[in-house]
Amino acid sequence: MSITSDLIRGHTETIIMAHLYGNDSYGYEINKAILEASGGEYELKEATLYGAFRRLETSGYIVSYWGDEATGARRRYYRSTDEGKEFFKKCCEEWQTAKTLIDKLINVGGFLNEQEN
Amino acid sequence: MNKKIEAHVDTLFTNAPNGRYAPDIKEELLANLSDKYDDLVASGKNEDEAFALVISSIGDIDNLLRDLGETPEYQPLEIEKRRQMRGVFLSIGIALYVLSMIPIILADRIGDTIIGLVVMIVICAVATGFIVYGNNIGKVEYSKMDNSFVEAYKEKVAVDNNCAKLRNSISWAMWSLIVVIYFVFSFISGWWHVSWIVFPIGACAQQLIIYSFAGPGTRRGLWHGLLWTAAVILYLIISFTTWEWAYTWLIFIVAAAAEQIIRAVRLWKTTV
Repeated sequence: MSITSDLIRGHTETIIMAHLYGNDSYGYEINKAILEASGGEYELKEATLYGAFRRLETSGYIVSYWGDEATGARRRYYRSTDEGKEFFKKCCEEWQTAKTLIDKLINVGGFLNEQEN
Repeated sequence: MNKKIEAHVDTLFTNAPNGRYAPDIKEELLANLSDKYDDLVASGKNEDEAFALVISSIGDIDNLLRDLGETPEYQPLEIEKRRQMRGVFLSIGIALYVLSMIPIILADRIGDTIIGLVVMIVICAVATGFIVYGNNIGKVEYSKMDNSFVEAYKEKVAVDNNCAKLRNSISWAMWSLIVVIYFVFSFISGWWHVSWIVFPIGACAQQLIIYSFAGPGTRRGLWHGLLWTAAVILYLIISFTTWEWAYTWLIFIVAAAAEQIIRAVRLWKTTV
């Protein structure tokens, strides 16, 4: 599990950008969507989430604004910029390349095929 | 809003810096946590379970605030970018200084020293312009800081700057001395065919200076050594096959310029 977590952590920003690609969202909504998409197996820590938000904001990939909730606390919404969408596409391409390459590299002994059968 | 969550978050932020990020993060965190708490309670968890789950999902806020205390106020990315831009300008300036030797030597062969001198002075003027401009874009002003981590970072930047200044002063003093020695020795002895050797020696000394000031992480500049070794080998091969010793030494001038250009390109790539 810890190896999986480390691997996923390296792609936190890509995962967040995926959830902001079509529509604006806020921290809890994104985290809930991540939990659902992973079948309840994975969830970001709040601190990890805000760290990634600030990095993405500093890089100009997202912008944030406060919502005007009638009840309860204000929510901070995030919107992907055009640069952010380009960044996300690039991340996806890089991931595809890495995935293909790693598959090739670890499958030299044919173990992956054995497991599938 | 759940008072217990609010009290817990308050304790997490007691030591937070009064920057522009901590209060926003706190508000954002509270909103997200209370949404999560409400969802958990609605899904059938009792209040204690929900509270425990919510708190355990926060993660390392201290670490986050430390990172943010650094990033927004200082913009180290911006500082780094400017530093690299300055490197690009300095490199181009130095390359021009090195190349400025060529016209005066070539003009001397045609017999018109004045034109060579004028071209050299013009190139030197442009080179100086690059260096002065490069130094100016490197300057960054900070706003006043009130937390100790930030002060520590500022101190580190200042120390690094002092190191770089000392290194540059030593380099410039050395090169000035080499040029003076070159001309004085050559004019007195007339051994122009030998005296140029001080320039490759100077270049090696320059590398040693840079290396001795570089931190352990930045000592990857192996390509300097490779470039100069290649230049020396090329020089010897061409000189021995053509016997044109009067011209082959120009390889070193070209190598010096190429080195600065490679450096400029590398810096440019990491900047853009």
